[in-house]
This record gives sequence, structure tokens and C-alpha cells, in this order.
Amino acid sequence: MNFVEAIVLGIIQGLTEFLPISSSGHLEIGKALFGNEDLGQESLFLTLVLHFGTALSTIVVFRKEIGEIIKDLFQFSINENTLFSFKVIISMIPAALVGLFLQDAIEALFSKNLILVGAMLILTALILYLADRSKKTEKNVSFSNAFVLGIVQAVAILPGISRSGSTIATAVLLGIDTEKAARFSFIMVLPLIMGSIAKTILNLEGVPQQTDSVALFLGFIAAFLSGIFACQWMIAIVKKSKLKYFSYYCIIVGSLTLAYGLF
Amino acid sequence: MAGGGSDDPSYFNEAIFNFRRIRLAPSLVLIGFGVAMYSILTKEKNT
Repeated sequence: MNFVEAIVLGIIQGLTEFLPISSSGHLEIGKALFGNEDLGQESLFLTLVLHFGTALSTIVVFRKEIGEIIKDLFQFSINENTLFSFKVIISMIPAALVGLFLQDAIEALFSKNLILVGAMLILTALILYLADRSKKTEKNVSFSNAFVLGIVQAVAILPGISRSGSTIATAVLLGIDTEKAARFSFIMVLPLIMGSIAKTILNLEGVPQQTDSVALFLGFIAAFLSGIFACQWMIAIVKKSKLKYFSYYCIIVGSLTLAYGLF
Repeated sequence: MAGGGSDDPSYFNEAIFNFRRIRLAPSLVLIGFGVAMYSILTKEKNT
């Protein structure tokens, strides 16, 4: 892996983590078009570093909110922020269970299956479009909403369904205020990313010998900076009801993928 | 890894067709879609 590859991968991770276009769906399309890439220890380590970069960009963008949540947690009383934390914990349950016990089985359903990946991209397009057209309301995230969003997040493990897109769009369709929907979607995934990073580190057998630490660092910085940009951009997109443009993109890519898989 | 298959054509992995893969995982995905759709369609009653 050279410096340019690491930077490009970092930028792709930063953008796809936040924009509603399904990184895993595009990865499956890439694999089908260019051949299956071998996932060695080095690649796993790079994925881990890039995910850490985007997790850090979420923390930077929401530093004020996260700071207040942590501060309020240590007051050991029931307030708005402790309730928010409980909702995040509830939302984590479905994806944590799926991630621990079923992720490989669910990914296997879609592995090299471009017809299903294309269909899921079209589903992502549909939900983004509906969210854009729905009547905007000012509701907060309730406990039942948090659980439904957790289920949507777990289903978004499927390649072709964007995690950020489907959770934000579902939240908006449930009547939640757009800004609160985006904030909840990005914060709800943070503990899961950290857990997933910890799980990967435990499974890694030390730092791979051939890892180029400068390239890793450049990839991390690229993921971190593009993540900050994409996260802020996504919040603005949701606020201004511009999700439909990503919906058009997903429907074009989804239809082409479906056609490629069918014929 | 995700496919669960093997590069060796003479080796067959029984796990490809186990209950977890061909029953449990697809059922949970469909239930997930169902719950999300039901929640969106009935949201007016929750407010």
C-alpha cells in the first residue's frame, strides 16, 4: 500500500461513512467489477485505523453535545442528556447482537449477489426520497423510536443499504426533527464503532509486520478530515431537504447494478 | 470469508446451508424491514 492509496481509501471512508450512498454496497459492486480483493491482516488493520479516523471526526463535529452528555451522566440524575444516553444504548442492542452473532451470515446473503445489492440501493433511494418529501415535524427521539432506529441500523449491515441514510430517513419519516435525526444517527453508531474496533484489535495477532506506519497515518488524517467535511455536509443536506439528489444517485447506481446482475 | 466457501473445489463447507444462514439471518432481515415499515405507517398513533 502506497501513500496515495492510503489517502484515497481514507477519503472514501470519510465520505461514505456519512453520506447516504452505502459504502458496503459500492464495495460489493467494486469486487464484482474488479475481482475479489484479498482481506489480509494489513487491510484489516487499515480498515480499523480509517474507522477510528471517522469516529474521531464524529466526536469533533458533535464535541459540544457529547461533552454535555458525559457531563450530565456524572451528575447521576435523570435529565435530558441521560435519557438521550439510554436511548442510544437501546438503539445499540439490535446492531450489537447482529454484529456479534449474525454479521457473517447476513453478509453471506449478499456476497457477490449484485441483484440483491442493486435492489437494496433502490430501496435506499426510495426511503431517502420519501424522507425528503415528508412533512417536517419537531418531534424528539422517543424510546420506541430509538429501538426502531436500532433495528434499521442492524438491517443496514446489508450491502446496498446506507446506515446513515436509512436511519436518518426513517427518523424523519417517524416525524423526528431533521437536525435531531442526524445527530442521533451519528452519535448512536459511535459506541458500536468503538466496540467493533476493540473486537478487531482483540482478534488481530499484533500489528502486521509489513504495515507502513506513515501510509496508515496519512490514511487516518484523510479519513478524519474528509469525515468532518462529510458529516457537516450531511447535516446541512438533511436540514435543507436535499436527500433527493442522493436518492437519484442511488436509483441510477442501483438500476445499473441490477441490470448488470440480471444480464 | 463472507461467502463461507472455499477456494478448494473438492472441499464442501456444510456451514453454507446451516439453519443460521438460510433460515435465521434472512428471517431477521425481513422482520427488521417489517418492524420499520409498521412503525413508519403507524407513527400518527404514537404522537
